Amino acid sequence: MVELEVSSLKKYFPVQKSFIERLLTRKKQFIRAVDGISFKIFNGQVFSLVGESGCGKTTTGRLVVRLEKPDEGKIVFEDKDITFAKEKELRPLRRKMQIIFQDPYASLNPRMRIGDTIAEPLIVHGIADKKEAKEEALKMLENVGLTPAHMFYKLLPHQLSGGQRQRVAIARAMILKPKFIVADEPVSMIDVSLRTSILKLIMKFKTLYNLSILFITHDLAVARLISDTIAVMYLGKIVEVASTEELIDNPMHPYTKALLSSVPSLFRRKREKVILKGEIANPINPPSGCRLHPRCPFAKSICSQEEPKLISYGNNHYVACHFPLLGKG
Amino acid sequence: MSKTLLSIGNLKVYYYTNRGVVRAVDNVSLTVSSREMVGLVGESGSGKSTLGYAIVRLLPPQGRIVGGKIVLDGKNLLELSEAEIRKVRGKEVGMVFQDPLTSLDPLQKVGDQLIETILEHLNVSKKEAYKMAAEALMEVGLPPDRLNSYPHQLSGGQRQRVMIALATALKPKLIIADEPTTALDVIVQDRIMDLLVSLKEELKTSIILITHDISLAAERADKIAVMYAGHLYEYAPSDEIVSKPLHPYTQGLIQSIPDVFVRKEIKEIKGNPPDLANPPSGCRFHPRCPYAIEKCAKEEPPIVNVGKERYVKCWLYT
Ligand SMILES: Nc1ncnc2c1ncn2[C@@H]1O[C@H](COP(=O)(O)OP(=O)(O)OP(=O)(O)O)[C@@H](O)[C@H]1O
Ligand SMILES: Nc1ncnc2c1ncn2[C@@H]1O[C@H](COP(=O)(O)OP(=O)(O)OP(=O)(O)O)[C@@H](O)[C@H]1O
Ligand SMILES: [Mg+2]
Ligand SMILES: [Mg+2]
Repeated sequence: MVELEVSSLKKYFPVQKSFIERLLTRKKQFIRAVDGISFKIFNGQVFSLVGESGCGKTTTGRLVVRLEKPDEGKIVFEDKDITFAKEKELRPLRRKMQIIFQDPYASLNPRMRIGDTIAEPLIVHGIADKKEAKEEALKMLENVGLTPAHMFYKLLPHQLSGGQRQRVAIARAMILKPKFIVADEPVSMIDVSLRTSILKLIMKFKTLYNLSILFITHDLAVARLISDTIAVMYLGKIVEVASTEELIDNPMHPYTKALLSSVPSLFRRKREKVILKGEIANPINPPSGCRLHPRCPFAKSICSQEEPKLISYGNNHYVACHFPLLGKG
Repeated sequence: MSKTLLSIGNLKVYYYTNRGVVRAVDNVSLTVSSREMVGLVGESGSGKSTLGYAIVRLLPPQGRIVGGKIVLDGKNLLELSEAEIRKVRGKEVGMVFQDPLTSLDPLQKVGDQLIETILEHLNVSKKEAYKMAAEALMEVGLPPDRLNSYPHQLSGGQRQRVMIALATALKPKLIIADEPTTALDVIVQDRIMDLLVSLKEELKTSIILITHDISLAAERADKIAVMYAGHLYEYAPSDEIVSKPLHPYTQGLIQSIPDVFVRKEIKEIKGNPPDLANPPSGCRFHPRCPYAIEKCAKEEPPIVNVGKERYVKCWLYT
């Protein structure tokens, strides 16, 4: 069953200009943060979005749980079109969709005891009274490994380590037993030796609640560990999607290949580098045709003229490239 | 065997804070050979930066070197006067930091910053310095017209290249690079690392690469030094650290990190790193160590040589 389906989703942010700049150019400019992307997340599966900084991962995550309003496209969550749903219509769905942020410090109320922070959603949604909510929060503390729960309940966020704070953020997101979560770089600010336990905790809840997850990361090693499917984004577009193993063993888009050949690894096989020229382009005026073309070592004239569509190469492997690297592993 | 460039012996660097004394680097000994890249790895707060900055005596006011020696090319840097150590910085030891924006002057063109550094240390004409600055930029893959840019006009990767140009312009013997690519995307990181490796070959310098990313160190460095809670626990050639880690902490670290090319079971290291104002007695890793015995809580193990270029600090091997 499809939990979330997104089609042709777009979000442009107006560029903030200084007074002088506004006098000089009358034309309004936009950052094309998300520029027509489509994907499906199946029930109980982890779908990862990877790509470099600024490619539109967070914006996508915020759009699908409607913390951000799309410009165009369609978002269907559990068969309900929520693309332009009003806050009132969204409220009952908010219980089922949660988001976990990168910075567990910023996402917790610094003056609230962590136990109350975890219990709060139950009260806000009118699911439990104060006493029941506290009971549930204690159970949840136990569940995320913050024990003894009674002791942790009373602590404030600053009294916890980064890893422990992320556990609190996860507990708060999970207390409503959601069906779907967006996890936006949930371990990138956490120490290496503690990352694993946080990822394992997320996987535990995935199994427990049959969760579907949109997992956002710039770390391909983490994506490989946690996801069923990986989608690679470049400048607001999805350039390649496939099952995790397929994408890593058989990347077809030059950008995916460049990414994979740049990731440090303890156990790399032979290193076959794809070197991209220059640097990532400006999302305000992205290149014509394929957005990678000015940097791509395989580009031909069609690449600057025609935008490649995301098409299937079998095995549920989709690539948007005029000259995909077929069978070159 | 190549000759020793840097030799650190029983170094202790403590921070005197209102929470008490933070023993950030405690009894660390380490040697770096010429033309060698050493990866200094360990989790946040393990003392990597403190060790790196202590080498050139660039510590914040609360930080103090309370013991040990640091010998660079026969000179004990701890005995130099303030004026002498200032000459060592830049000229003999170049520094590259994680965030170039905080170390580049935002109001000065990058060319002027390069020229200033060169004039400060070398007895050359302005014209000569300009030429050297342009060359330094070309070395790091930036067109010389970038001399006229201000730092904010450059991308993160380009700024890091400028930092590297600054650090290498005077052809130092040693470069200390503190998380030089942590703020960058992997593709840019890879190119910056290519650059550092090629400069190492060309200039015949040694590099201390400080990073929390053991995979990065394993791929790029010749040797890896593993720090935990202010102690150096293992020091060995990179390949051996990966294929045959000896210290239980190193083993745990390698088992705990996911890898993009290998599907493997990952295991976490239980527990949390200690507070260095109040570190555990004996071996500082003992509360998290699966092999800890009674002795580990009581006595700090010495670091011992257990084979060619292999050092480990653990009672299992002593
Ligand atoms: N509220 C906003 N207003 C204006 N521009 C925005 C806003 N949010 C994001 N952007 C821009 O949209 C683009 C995509 O940003 P987004 O945060 O989605 O990227 P990301 O892939 O999550 O990057 P990172 O890996 O750095 O988190 C960027 O160019 C960013 O500057
Ligand atoms: N200025 C300071 N005053 C007090 N304590 C400090 C200071 N700087 C660092 N410390 C402490 O010294 C210890 C080592 O810090 P250091 O910055 O060297 O670690 P690190 O390994 O570089 O960590 P990171 O990966 O986070 O950069 C930590 O416990 C830290 O809290
Ligand atoms: Mg983001
Ligand atoms: Mg540091």
